[in-house]
Amino acid sequence: MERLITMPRSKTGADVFFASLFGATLAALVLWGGYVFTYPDFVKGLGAGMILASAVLMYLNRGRDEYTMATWHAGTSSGFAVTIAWLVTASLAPGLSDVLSPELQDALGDARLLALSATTAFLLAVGWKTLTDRQ
Amino acid sequence: MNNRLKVLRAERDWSQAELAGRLDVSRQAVNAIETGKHDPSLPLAFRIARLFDMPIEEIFDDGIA
Repeated sequence: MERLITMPRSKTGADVFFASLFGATLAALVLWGGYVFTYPDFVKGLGAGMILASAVLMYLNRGRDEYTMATWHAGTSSGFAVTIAWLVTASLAPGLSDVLSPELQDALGDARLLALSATTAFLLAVGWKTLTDRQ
Repeated sequence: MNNRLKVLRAERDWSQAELAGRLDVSRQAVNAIETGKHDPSLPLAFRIARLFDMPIEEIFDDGIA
């Protein structure tokens, strides 16, 4: 009985959060693979669906306890920083045509790549914090 | 911030998961607090102090004497 009392929803929620992180990381790898290589559309769709579902689960469980929330914030800060850096660089790209290759300038205008990069930065930050905070 | 959480938990023969359950936080949170990677909020610090029936300053040490 005591075991039931001392197993709050926060534990389950945090476990869902960290399990979803794993799922989202796998999905991001699939999406990067789809971007670099020529994967069938259904594989890309599967990756997009997985990352969306994982992100929703992470979002819903982010506030289960303060450490999970701190981990979430590490990820969102990282994703936000990448987005701002990307947008600033993209806005300066026309004036940096001597420095940036045409391929890179094209990539900076690709919204899909921006979303994937920001998501990857989010996942890397959450994963890094999770791993480095362990004993 | 240094703390005695791991020692206090070991004295009671509790696992991290058991302590997490008693504090209503995740096991990951207990782990991060024990390693000093995460400083608990004031409400959580009070919960920890109540659980061990000790003043907060006997559990947590900010290094300022």
